[in-house]
Amino acid sequence: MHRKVISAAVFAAVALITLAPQALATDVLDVGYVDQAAIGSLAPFAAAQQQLAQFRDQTARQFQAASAGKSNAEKQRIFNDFNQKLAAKQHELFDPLLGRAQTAIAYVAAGKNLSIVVDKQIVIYGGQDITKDVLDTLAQPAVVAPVNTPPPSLIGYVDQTQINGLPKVKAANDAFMATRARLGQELNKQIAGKSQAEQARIVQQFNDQLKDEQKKTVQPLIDQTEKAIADVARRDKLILVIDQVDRVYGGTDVTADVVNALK
Amino acid sequence: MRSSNPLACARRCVSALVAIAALGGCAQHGNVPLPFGRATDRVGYVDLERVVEVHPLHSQLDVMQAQIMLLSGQAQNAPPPQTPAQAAALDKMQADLAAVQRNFEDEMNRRRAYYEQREAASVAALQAQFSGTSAPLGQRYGEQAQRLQQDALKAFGDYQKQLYDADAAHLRDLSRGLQREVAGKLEARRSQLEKQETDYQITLAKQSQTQRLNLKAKLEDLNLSADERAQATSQLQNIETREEAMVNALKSKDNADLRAYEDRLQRDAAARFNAARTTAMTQTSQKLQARQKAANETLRTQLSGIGSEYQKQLANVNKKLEDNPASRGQMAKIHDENQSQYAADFSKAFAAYQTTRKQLVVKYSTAAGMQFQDNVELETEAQAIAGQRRDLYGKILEDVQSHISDVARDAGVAIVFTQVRGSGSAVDLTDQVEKALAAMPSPTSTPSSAPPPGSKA
Repeated sequence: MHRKVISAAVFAAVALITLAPQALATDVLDVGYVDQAAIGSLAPFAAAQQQLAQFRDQTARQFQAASAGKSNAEKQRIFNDFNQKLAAKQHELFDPLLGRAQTAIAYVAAGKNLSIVVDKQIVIYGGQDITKDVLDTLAQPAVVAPVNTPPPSLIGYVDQTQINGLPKVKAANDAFMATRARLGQELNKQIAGKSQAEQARIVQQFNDQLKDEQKKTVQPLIDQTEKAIADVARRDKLILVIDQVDRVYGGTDVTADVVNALK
Repeated sequence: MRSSNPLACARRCVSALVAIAALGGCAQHGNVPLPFGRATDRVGYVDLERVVEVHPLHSQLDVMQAQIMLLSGQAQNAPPPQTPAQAAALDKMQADLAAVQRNFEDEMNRRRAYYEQREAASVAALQAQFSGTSAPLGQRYGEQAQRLQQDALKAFGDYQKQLYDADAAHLRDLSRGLQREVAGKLEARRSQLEKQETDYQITLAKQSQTQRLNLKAKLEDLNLSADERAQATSQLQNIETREEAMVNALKSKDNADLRAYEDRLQRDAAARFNAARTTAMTQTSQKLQARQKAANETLRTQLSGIGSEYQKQLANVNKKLEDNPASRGQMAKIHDENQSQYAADFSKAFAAYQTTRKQLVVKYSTAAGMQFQDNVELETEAQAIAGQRRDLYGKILEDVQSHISDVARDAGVAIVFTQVRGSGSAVDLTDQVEKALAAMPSPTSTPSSAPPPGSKA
């Protein structure tokens, strides 16, 4: 009996190797990825995009008509109204679709017991592509939210916008942007009427100056942030940490720890 | 690593079994990318930007980027016109260039529509052939749909006419009835007034009867002097004149009253007629709307029915066409022919378009005595280079991906990320991939040796 069990196990292993060697090499982790661009090109998204474009055109015409002959302050107020209307419309059109897509991703991920789903763009090798399953799920009339939450993930994510909100990071970014704007204006003045070779030299000079400035003002903070993220990852025994914008579902949020470490 | 994940435990068990199988040498696993002793649940990452920079073709990306920047800079930093004449020439040139562009785009849209229609017609003919019908499926559907629409339109038109006729008849009868009523009332009032006038005349005659008789008797007296006779005659005449005037005054008053009464009657009749007409129009409009809604609903159902049937037939025919190698080839041929003819037309027209633009720039530059530039041309060139750059980047990325896959397999890494914010236990494969890419042979010739498109050198 015991021998039978061992034979069965060995047979199962041999069968696995023979039937799906590639799958073993690539799918052993509970990490999935999805092509968000493919979801974004589905008919409901395209229709919503079209509606938004129409609304934008219509509102832009209204904005132009309303701001004609107005003071700059009035124009700014009208422009802010215009942007708010546009943002509200965008939410109105896309939130239900995004919510549905998110539910479909969660449903598929839960079915495959994935601990994290990331955007396809950041995976160059391996991982489970769940795009087709998500698209198939979205094609169903109703998408049901999964009952289980994602399992704990060894992959963390961090929200850069919260890091950018730290006073010292904000000050460094603002200083760099101001310098970049100043150098950009100088570049435009210098490049006017110059030969192509001179223009190329000036552009190169501009890029070098920009790099130096970045090294001086922003790079120290980038290094500090990287170190803080790596420290948190090691402390929490995470495999790695990605940016929140690349995370689609699941994962472990380490933003608070990183922000605390940077304070 | 956290070990609480049951799936991870199961995976490790499978890995162990795989290792047992590999030791026993009892499976054909020559292709299994699992060197003995290496785990397969490792995660790797690469700095994609860094590894792309190592690719032998990367320098070309930089060159192309520089060209794009130069063209953009050239477009943004054109010398402004110095005199009003130069400014006018520039405006005119830009207007002409815009017109040329519109013409070109319109012409290309026309050509594209022509080839699309031609291709659609050829495909439809092929579909008809495979569906066993004489007319293309789309045409049949179109004819059926058109017939249904026409029938619905005719039925609606008939119903509309019927309602309008009924309304017209009803209003005509009403109008006649009202006129009869007005005439009757008017006639009654007239008779009444005439009787009153006659009565009044009689009353007056009675009142003056004695005086008139006396005067007449007096006039019969032959002894009456001429003066007395004239006086009596005059008095008699006065009586008659006075009575006549009084009767005439009454008649005038009655006539005015009658006219006012008639006006009132006509106004009243007109108001009643208008009210009836409005009611009839409202009711008819409601009936028509209801009928139109019902007709549209019916038509939609009918069209949807034949549309579904058409789609089904079309799908069947398309499947037959797709399954049949000969027809598949024919379809591809039709598409390729139309595509290549459109491409040829486009190339020819585009060359002519570009020539025209250049000629316009030369013409206006000469007229203005300064060198103008064609920003659209610069933009087109920049876009063309950007396209080439995208293609090249895609090719580089393919190579990079292939090398990353090799390195990951060798290192027993199951998944590789390209954008990470920080690493815990993940393996940085960047150096290994860089080395692998650096070992690639250098390209023999590079596009960077060619002058940049659009350069005037």
